[in-house]
Amino acid sequence: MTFSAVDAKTFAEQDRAAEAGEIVAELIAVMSKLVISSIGPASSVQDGGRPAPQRYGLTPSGADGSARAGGGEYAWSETTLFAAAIEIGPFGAAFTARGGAVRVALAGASRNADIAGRAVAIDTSMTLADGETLTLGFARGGSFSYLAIEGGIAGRADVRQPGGECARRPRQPLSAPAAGGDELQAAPRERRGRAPDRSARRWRTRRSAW
Amino acid sequence: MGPQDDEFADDATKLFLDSEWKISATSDRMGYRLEGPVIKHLHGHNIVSDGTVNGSIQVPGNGQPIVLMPDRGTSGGYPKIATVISADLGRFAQIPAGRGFPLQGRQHGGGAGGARKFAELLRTLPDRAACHRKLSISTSRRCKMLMSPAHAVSAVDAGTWQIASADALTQD
Repeated sequence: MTFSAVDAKTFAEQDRAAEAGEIVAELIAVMSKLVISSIGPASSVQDGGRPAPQRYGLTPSGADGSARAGGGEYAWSETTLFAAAIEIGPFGAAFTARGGAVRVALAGASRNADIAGRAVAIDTSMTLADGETLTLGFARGGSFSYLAIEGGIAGRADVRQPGGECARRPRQPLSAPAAGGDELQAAPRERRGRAPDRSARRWRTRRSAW
Repeated sequence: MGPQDDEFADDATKLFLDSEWKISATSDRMGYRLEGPVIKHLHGHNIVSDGTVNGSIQVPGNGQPIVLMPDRGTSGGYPKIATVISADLGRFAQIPAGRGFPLQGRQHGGGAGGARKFAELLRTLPDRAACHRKLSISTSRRCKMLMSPAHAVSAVDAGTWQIASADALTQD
């Protein structure tokens, strides 16, 4: 499963392309990507979820804002503040940068973390050089950690859910649980901007789909 | 405390609030099962199905409460004795399975202050980060304090998501 990170401006382009049946990835100047080398159970990609369509009985999903926001903040990217992050369960995980450096931020439960053997603090941002691996131990003093990628994560058009959110919806083919081998693409670093709360806006504008 | 708290006798409610609870290892994103004393219903465990929210605490027939989490269904048929206030939901989600924790009762609406404070924190986070970005090389103690780990946003410890007080901001 591949996710692309895009900035706020390219979401609209991506939508138009998806509706026109074009290959979305071509629109994005893809730089580096983050590969999930290994990850434990109870891990998934989560954003703010979809609170609005609960009136149709749809599970809201999503993750609590605080730790996700913390992860996004330390990635120094406002686009990630209310956007998706990888929710990492109580067990360990490893992420490797490919195709260039990837800036990430880690928040939530405390755990041992190192990049290529160098210990790093959590609740902070860090840059993985090309080929370097961020290794996380078991959670201590909490259950979940949130790893944000600078610029945010956006699911590919065929993975993203109807409202544009990529929070996992269980038992649905559209769900996006994180698993070893998944690749998450990072946005070009110079692209920054404040993104609106996409999940809420999308459900207003796309109500007709439901 | 909850939409069906009248389905429980006062002593059951008191037992619920005064006991130490543990999160079961069978918990997941749909619901966290609590392990502790059996909470008895007044009129049985079936109600007409009713809407749920994140943090609704249902008490099924075995008397072991279930806290509904974001992957929950949108309605439920067990009486809901209480609701986890939204400002605490992230902290609750982070409690490791098997660790005991207490509950604290709030009057209806008592969680609103916490929710407002939390919303304010999230709202102002980008500006405070921007402050940190611009001055990261300077020696501005103010910005350093704002972005120091103590002022980071963490769902694990309540103390870490307090908004820095006015006093803290003017200590430059």
